[in-house]
Amino acid sequence: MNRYFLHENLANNKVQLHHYLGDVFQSISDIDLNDIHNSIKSDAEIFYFIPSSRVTSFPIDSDNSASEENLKAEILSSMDTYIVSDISNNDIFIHRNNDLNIAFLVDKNYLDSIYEPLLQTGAKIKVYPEHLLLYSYRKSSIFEILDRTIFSFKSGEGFSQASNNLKSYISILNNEQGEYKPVLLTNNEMLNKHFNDCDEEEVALDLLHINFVKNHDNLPNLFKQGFFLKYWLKRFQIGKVDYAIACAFFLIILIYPIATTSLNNNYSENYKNGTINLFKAINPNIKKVVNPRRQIDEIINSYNLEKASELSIQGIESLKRLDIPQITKVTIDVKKSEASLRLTELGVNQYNFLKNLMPQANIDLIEEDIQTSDGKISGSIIIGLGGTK
Amino acid sequence: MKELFNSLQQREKTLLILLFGVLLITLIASSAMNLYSNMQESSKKLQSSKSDYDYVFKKAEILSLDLANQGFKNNSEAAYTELDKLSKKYELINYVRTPNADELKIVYILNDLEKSLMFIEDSIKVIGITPSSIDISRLNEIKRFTIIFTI
Repeated sequence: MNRYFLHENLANNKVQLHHYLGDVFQSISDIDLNDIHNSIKSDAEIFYFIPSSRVTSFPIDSDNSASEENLKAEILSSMDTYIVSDISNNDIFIHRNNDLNIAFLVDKNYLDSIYEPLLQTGAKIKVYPEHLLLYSYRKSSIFEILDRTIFSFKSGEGFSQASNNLKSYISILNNEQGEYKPVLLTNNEMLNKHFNDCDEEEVALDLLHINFVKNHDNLPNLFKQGFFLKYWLKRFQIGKVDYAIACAFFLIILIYPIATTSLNNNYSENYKNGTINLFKAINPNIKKVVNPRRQIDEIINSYNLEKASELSIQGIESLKRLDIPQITKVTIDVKKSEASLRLTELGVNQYNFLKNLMPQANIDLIEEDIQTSDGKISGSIIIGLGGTK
Repeated sequence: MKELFNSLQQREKTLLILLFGVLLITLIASSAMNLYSNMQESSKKLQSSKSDYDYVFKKAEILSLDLANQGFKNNSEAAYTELDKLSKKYELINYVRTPNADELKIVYILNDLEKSLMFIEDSIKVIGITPSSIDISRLNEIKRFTIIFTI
């Protein structure tokens, strides 16, 4: 699977794109975030890291069992004093599990500006504060990415500072969090000097990325899953053809019953008119047909029929199938629905074929009086027309 | 509208989208069910109309044959004239009609079996009786038909 790790490059307003195929590093490039959909396909996974300086962290007491809404209100009221921007312009993310209880505040407009280009890729999107990349490796640690130094604290809080302001930030840190003993994951002279009693473990960014893939499940993803039609269409790689097929399918589902109902009603009306016309042909004075079966029975009874004849002779249609030169005489007894056939030198195969054809033509072989000579059959057979047996 | 939607909390947005989705699915399902129910209803109506038509047609046919038979008994000459006209219409060769007291025998030559069967059906309509026997003798492509109606 293609994985992309994105770090903001604040110096040139681009993002640094680290490409991995599985766990194997492929390439690194600087790219404009708005053009990212040209580089990343929908079957990929994106890890976007927000610089920690853009995220306000707020640790939550693990014993605090307040509902999420109450907790949000509580956090907002306590943080309002030191957030410069309007509080309503921030999105709040609360994360509570056994390992980490923390809330993050991020500017909504900033998040939207990230989401929009990311959604255009259709890829699986995950957004994290950048210091969690360190946190997943060593909870309390310091690392350098691009032109900034990132601090991760045990509580899950974090911050990032541009290298030119590092000295002033470290002095604030010393004053406010004197007990902070991070693992130095980078080799920086100033950091070594200030944290000379801390452990050092120089690691490459690739290692942090791979480690993060394995350990990010319990960390808060700041990407809000929602219904973004264009995103899901791209995510499931739904193209114009699929779209057209789906539309056609829905149209057929709707049109089929409408068309069938209309045709049924039309045919039904034709049959009703036909029935009325039959009655009018029998008796032009008949104006209304309510119960056609009862009405025709009444008419038939009123005529006192002597005997009921039938126009169609049973099985006469089967005669058409017996129109073979070697069948020299056919005598049909209509009352018995039987026919006697005289055969003259009919080929054996042809006769067998004829016999096999009989059930399909609703003909029964009743009697067979035939002689075979030189592969030819002569004699007579009696057949039942219309399945007399 | 979009601004109003965007101002809602995520939970409210999700609930609203879910509600809209459920409403849409219910609407589509209900419309589709209604359409398919109408289709089944119309299909039943068609079957009933067809069945009634077939029943009436068959009975009317019986009535027609009976009336034709009565007409034949009352005025057989008129029926014979009608049969002779049919023989010309179907271009029967060597057409011979032999009426007796208890039967009517018609003999003719016609190579086209289908046409001959049509002539037999039309004859039944004229005299209102089904033939008691039909005999077809064949020599190569020449077919000689003998039809006997028992009066």
